[in-house]
Amino acid sequence: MLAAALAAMILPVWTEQPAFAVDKAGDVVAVRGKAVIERKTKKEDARVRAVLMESDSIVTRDKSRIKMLFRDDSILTLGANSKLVIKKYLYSPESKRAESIYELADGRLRSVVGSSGFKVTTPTAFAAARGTVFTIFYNEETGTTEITVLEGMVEVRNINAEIAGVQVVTAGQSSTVSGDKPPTPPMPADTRGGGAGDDTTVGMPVLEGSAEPAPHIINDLLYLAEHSLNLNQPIEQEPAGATKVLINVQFPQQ
Amino acid sequence: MNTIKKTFLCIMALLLLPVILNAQESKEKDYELALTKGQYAVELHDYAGAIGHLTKALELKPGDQEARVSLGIAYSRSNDNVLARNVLQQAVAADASDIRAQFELAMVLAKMGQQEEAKSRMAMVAKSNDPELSEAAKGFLEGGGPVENKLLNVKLSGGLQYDSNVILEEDDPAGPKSKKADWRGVLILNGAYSFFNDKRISGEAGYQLYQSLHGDLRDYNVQQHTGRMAGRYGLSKTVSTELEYAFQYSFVGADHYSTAHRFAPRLSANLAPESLTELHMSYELKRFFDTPVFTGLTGKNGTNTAAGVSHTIMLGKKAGIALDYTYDTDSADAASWSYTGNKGTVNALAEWGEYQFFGGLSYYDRKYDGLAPGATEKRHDGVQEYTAGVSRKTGRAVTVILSDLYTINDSNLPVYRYTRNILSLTAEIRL
Repeated sequence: MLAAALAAMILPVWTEQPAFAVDKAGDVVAVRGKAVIERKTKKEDARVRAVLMESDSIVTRDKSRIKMLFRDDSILTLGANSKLVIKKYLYSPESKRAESIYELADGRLRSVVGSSGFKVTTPTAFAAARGTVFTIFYNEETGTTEITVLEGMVEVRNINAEIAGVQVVTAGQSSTVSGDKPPTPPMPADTRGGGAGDDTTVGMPVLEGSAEPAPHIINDLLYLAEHSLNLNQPIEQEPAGATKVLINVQFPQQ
Repeated sequence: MNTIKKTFLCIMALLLLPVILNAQESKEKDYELALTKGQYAVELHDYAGAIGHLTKALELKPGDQEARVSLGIAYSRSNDNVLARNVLQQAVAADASDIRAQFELAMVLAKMGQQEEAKSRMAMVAKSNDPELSEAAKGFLEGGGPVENKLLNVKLSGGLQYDSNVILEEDDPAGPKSKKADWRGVLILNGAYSFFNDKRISGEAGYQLYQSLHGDLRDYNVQQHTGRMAGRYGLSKTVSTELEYAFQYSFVGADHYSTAHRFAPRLSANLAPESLTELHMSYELKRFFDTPVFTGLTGKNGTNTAAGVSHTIMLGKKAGIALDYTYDTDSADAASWSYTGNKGTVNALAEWGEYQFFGGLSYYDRKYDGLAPGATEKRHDGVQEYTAGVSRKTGRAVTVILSDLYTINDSNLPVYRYTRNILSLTAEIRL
């Protein structure tokens, strides 16, 4: 009863549709290791400042992490060996609100939720939150989703809406959803270090000139274009026949 | 009565609970948002914005090590070295095992001239388990310090060239063939002093000496002195303007060959992180002098005005391509030397480990205005240049370059037709 009351308070029905959909959903703000952005049939390495769009998939490799800042001020950090799909992203610049649905296909995700309708799905679970910090971990091998809330509250249910049972997980608690079962009742969780295994912290500015695309390539190209005198002589010389030429050449004696 | 009171208090508590929770979570969320935006602003080189966000993050979570180190980095990258040092010293005092803080503090100390303490801290970072920081620290120690933000940059280049056609003799001269190929040594000294370097405004003065010494064709030794002043003003984060003035004084053989004054404004735009677009112009005032080797050049006295656009783009992380188009007009005292030119250039460069491979080609169409003495039609040249080369860094400050430049000067007038090949092996040392 209490859970239902709280859920009603923190999860208002989305009645205000954003004014329009925009392509840009957010930016990649930090990358450690290797992450790939898949857009339609194209794949490209994720780099800081890369733009994220609706329908993009973000895949991280071993020992890799990526941090993304979305237009509604939501911050998502994807852990190693994970895959996230931006299923839906509608943003209204006027109200600065968004309606977003992310699909965590595998791995670990940490979410700092902006002031907007924010939902995460996994193959087994559905989580809805607002103004919250929580982690969600989907283990593909066991088909289990674990949701740990660090701040605020998250409503959790099975991805199959026909399976009854909704849990409201509050700060310091976690719930698990597996198979065709409803979410487990919230249990105290160890949230020290971010909860659910803190391998998703990333964000310190990269070392100067390290993980960036090498900007010196551009400088080197400009240098090459401007300083061809390293190869050629730096004077406006005309062909020999154009001027009277008197060459003082001492040829070696035979 | 008590039951009503308890019920009322419970309802009030339930109503207030979300407000209380929201206030707490808002603080945590605001901290994370300020930290993330601040760190991202550092990556975007928006240091003023970064400092604002990171200061807010520290206010929301006083003593937070990540926010403090990030703030120190933002101050450091904005060249606010005193504040950077103070913040990073606090970070190191709070956690001496924070290798990133130690590294960034060492960088700041090096920029402030405190090399010994910087090296001491870098030596500690070099021994750390963080591979990226350890490697960067080793690079710092091998190179004797950071190369960024140096006030004085000096490069010395020297090497050997084989020039197949020093005197630009036509391939099939009507008269007897002369000696035209030769070896030469080349020395280039390039110094630049940055006398002002703000986030938006910078100024630089430079000098370059070029000297070539031929094995046989000593009348073709070139000595050139170039002095220059340049100023840059950032109109926004991505757009900047630059104005350069250069003065050139050239000798060929031991004789004064030419002088030139050149003014070159430029508008540069980083429309994307991986590209640079430039609109460039130049106005050059040139004066030539007759020498025993070159006579009749005073007719070339005059001006050259050029305007063009270039676009340089990255192809992945390790390669790039630069495209340039330039239109120029040369207005000389003698109409036969005046021309209108159109030049297109493509240069490409790719990095592979310590090697850089580069290549380029250009086509320069020049239509002359008047008839050259003895000619029955106006001169019209088409100059093709092909460049290829490879360079290898052999240390932090030394680069060895092997390159070749092949020129085909085609012309409607046979006397101006020639080909030339210059093979170079040079070393560049950054002092």
